[in-house]
Amino acid sequence: MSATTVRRGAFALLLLLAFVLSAPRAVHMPDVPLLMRTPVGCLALGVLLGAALLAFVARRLEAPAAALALVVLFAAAHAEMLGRRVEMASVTTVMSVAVFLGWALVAFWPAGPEARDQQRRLAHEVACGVFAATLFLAALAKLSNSGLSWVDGHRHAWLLLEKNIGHTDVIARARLWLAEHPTALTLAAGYALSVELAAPLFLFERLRKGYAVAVLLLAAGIALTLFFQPELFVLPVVLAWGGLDDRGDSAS
Amino acid sequence: MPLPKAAALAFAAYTATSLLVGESFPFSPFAMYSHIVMEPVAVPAFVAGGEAARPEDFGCFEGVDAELVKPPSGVPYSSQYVWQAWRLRVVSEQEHPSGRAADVPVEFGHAILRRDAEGRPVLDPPVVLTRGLACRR
Repeated sequence: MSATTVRRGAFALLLLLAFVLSAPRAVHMPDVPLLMRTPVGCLALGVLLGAALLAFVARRLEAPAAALALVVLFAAAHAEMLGRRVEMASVTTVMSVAVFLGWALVAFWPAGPEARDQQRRLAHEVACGVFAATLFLAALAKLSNSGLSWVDGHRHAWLLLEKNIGHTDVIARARLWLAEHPTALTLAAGYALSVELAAPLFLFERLRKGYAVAVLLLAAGIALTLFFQPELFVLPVVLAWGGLDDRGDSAS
Repeated sequence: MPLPKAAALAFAAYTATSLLVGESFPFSPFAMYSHIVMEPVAVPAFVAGGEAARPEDFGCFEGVDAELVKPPSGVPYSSQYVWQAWRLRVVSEQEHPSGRAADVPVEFGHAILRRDAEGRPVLDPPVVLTRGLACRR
């Protein structure tokens, strides 16, 4: 199995997870179109997506498979937004679909076979650019809505209290313990904001692996304090270590 | 160190479009948790049989008005998704009743988390928004 297949497999699993995080939230919801409202319709679309992603990983009928996957993911995201009556779908869905869409638009743009390698390199760069933009936008939003007070550990401590008070499981107890240490939370929040602000570093090929490690640490911190964001584990690794095409593969 | 033009262009295009159009899938300004509210805040509350519980452990809701399972107005909160998940659960269970008897009194509401005079966090008793019956799963 080639390294590209492994990376594509990881990316495909992320997209499948995005579907699972979005589509079931629309089932039985009154405002959702019938196809996405019924469990059978939701399951059928999930199977369709699974088949498209399998073809994508196996590199069979790549362009139609990617197009089909995107159509299903768009449908799932819109159904989720209608069902939950929110403006934003699950953040995993938004980030992973944005990166995949950017990549697919360039990778499958009609071009002659002689331009294929160049096109796939461009597609990879576009995916990296979109990923960096999603993180940078998060930093801009924090600075715009809260300014530097966003890193104040007391605010994060209160957030942890709000989300965990009254809960008795191990994770909640650990988070409540963290809430008693606002200085540590200030450092962690400062790190998070710095990593997001530094997202343009991901545009430079030579800095991608180092920045990806910084994002992995950020993802671990978010998982510890708030929730698991699989896209922050999968996207930086897949993009920094080769992307969705044959880049740097040594094994086959 | 050369800056790949395609990456920089994609970065600029996605950033500018997201700032311009706001939440418009798959564009987004990714503003979640960009404003962390300070005290007091409203915390989602669910009580079953007189004790704090998790709605996930219950089904076949009867008499609960799903439209009232929502955050209070006038009090900050950051757990909107919890109320949404709870509302969806109630709607889903009511549209597809299991036929089991609902025999546990349940209440959905919110509790205010604030600090007392000595600065310690205090969770006030829940304010009930809607009540009904449910069955344990």
